[in-house]
Amino acid sequence: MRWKKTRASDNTFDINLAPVLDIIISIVSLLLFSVALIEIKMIETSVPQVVKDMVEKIEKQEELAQIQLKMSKKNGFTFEIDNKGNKESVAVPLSTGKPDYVKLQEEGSKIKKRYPAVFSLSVLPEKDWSMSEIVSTLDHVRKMSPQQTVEIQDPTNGNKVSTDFMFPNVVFANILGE
Amino acid sequence: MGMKRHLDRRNSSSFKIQITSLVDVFVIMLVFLLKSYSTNPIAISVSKDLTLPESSSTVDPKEIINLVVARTGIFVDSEKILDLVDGVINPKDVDPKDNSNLPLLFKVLDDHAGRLRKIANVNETVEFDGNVLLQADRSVPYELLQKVMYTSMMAGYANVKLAVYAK
Repeated sequence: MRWKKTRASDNTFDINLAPVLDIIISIVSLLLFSVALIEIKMIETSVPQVVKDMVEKIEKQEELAQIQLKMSKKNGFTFEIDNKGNKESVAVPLSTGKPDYVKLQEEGSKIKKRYPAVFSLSVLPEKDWSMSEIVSTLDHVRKMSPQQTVEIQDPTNGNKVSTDFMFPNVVFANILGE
Repeated sequence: MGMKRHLDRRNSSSFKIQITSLVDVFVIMLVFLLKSYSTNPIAISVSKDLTLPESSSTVDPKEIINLVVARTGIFVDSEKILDLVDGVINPKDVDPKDNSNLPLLFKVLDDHAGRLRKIANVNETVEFDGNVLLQADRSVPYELLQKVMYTSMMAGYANVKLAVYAK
């Protein structure tokens, strides 16, 4: 008996992709018009809520060390620490005439380990620092060096929280003048 | 007869475009665009003559008053307040009694703060928190930024947030 090929027995078939393509083209064009390819962010106190609450409690209960960061095009960065009257300074000199941001983060991390409860930093840039250099500096003092964290203890219940934040609360201390 | 039918099929004016690969390309584009589509409802437009610095900050901007310091001038919410020549302020625009104060900028910000305070007094949902988003060009020196921040602080806008491009 001769086998007759019918349309029903055919395993291959075509999907009409034209309407799908129409929809995709409409969505792609809509997204291309409305998408923001450059994202704008903001620099502010970006501490997670748990850490933020704990920092507020510590700041209320303890008299914390005051840390300042002097920014000079001639001498580089200088951390000035005032711990209840005991003053010390840590210098981060320029590297080949430019600010050494990596060293700044390393030295900042060392200071943070000694004063884990301090989250505020007063920055004092000199007049010739540009906005981009100031923002780079803030980026390098916001978080600790990679893979480094510090533990802070809640003074009310003793719970410990680990964080990689270094000095996220930055104040321009010389806005009112030197 | 069979040969004739074959030639007829070849000469037919209708043809099929293979659109499967085209659909693949569009689907990839769609996924990429959906991924980069910003869900933040606050859109900040940056003027052409302003290049913001880049930062690793991940905080989304808030809808607050915009203070723009470009190389050509100082603007408050797109209204030009002071002219700058290549990022340098005209000494006439600085208060002779207080060399950090910019009187024209102070007046605009003070008026704005006054209006917001009045609204906050009658509308509980509005709160005046002194937040200002400073969009400063990456090359602007701190000498000018200090004057702008000082003036904004004196006008009641003490919480200065810096606008940056995400790295």
